[in-house]
Amino acid sequence: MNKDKAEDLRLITSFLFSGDNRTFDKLVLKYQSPIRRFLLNLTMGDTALSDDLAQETFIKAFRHIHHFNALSGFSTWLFRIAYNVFYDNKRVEKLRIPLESVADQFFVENDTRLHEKIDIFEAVKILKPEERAVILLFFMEDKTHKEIATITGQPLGTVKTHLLRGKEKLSHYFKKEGYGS
Amino acid sequence: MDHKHTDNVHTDDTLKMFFQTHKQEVADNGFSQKVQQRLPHRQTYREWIVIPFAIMGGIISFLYAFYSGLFLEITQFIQNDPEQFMFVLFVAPVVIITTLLIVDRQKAMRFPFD
Repeated sequence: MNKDKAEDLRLITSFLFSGDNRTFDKLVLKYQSPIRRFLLNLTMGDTALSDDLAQETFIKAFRHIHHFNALSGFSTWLFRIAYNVFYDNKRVEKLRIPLESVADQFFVENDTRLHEKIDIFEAVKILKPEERAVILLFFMEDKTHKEIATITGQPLGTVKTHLLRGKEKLSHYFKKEGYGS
Repeated sequence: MDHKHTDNVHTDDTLKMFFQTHKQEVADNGFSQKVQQRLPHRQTYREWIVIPFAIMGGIISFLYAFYSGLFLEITQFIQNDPEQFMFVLFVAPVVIITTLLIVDRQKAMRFPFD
C-alpha cells in the first residue's frame, strides 16, 4: 500500500472513530482540486455547476463513508461518487453550454490562459460523454484502466473501447488543429 | 506493425502532453469551508467520557457481585442446571448481537440528518 493510500486510511479511520468533522475536512482539502477539476472538465467549464456538484460529492462521501471498504483507494471511491453525481445531474438538466458562455465565464482581462482553456473544452467537446470521462480520468487524473472501470461502473473492455475511440477522435482533432506536429 | 505502434505511442505522448499542460490546479478559495458548513453534525457514540465511566461501573458491579454473594449463587446455578447455563451462555450472545446489528443497520439506513 503506498503512502498516499495509507494516509487516506488513517484519516478515514480517525474520522470514523472520533466523528470529528475537522478530520474529514483534511480529506476535502486534499481532494477538492482533482474532484473540482474533473467535474469542471466534464461540464466543459461551468464553474458554478461543477462546484455545486463537487460539494454534493463530498457531502455524499461524508454520509456514506461507513460504506467505504478500502478494496479500492479512497480517491477511486470519491471519483466514483463524483461521476455518479454528474450523471444524476445530467438526467435532471440538459447540459448545453455554448462556447460563448464558456468564454464569458473565464474572461479575465489580460488572462493569457484564456486560449488554453478554450482549447481543452473545444477538444473534449468532440467526445461523447462516456469517452470524455474516460479520457479525462486516464490522461489528466492518471487513473489506470481498472480504476476507471471501478469509477464508471463499466466493464474493463468497454473502458478500453471508449479510450481507444476517444484517442482516435482527439488524434484527428489535434492533427487538424496542428497540435503536437 | 512497427509503424502503427510508433503512431500509437506518438498519439499517447501527444495526448498526455496536452492534458498535463492543461491540467488546472483549482485553488480552494473557501470551497472546503462551504462543504464544512453543509456537513451534518455527526453523532458519535465514542465520546471519551464514556470509557472511564464504563470502567468505574464495571469495577463497582464486580465488587457488589463479589461481596453480595452473587458469584456463589451463580456457581450453584451452574452446578444445579448445567444445560440451562450452557444454553444461556451460547444462545443469548448470538441473539443480542444479531439484534444490535439489525438495529444499527436500520439506523444507518434511515439517514436521520437528511
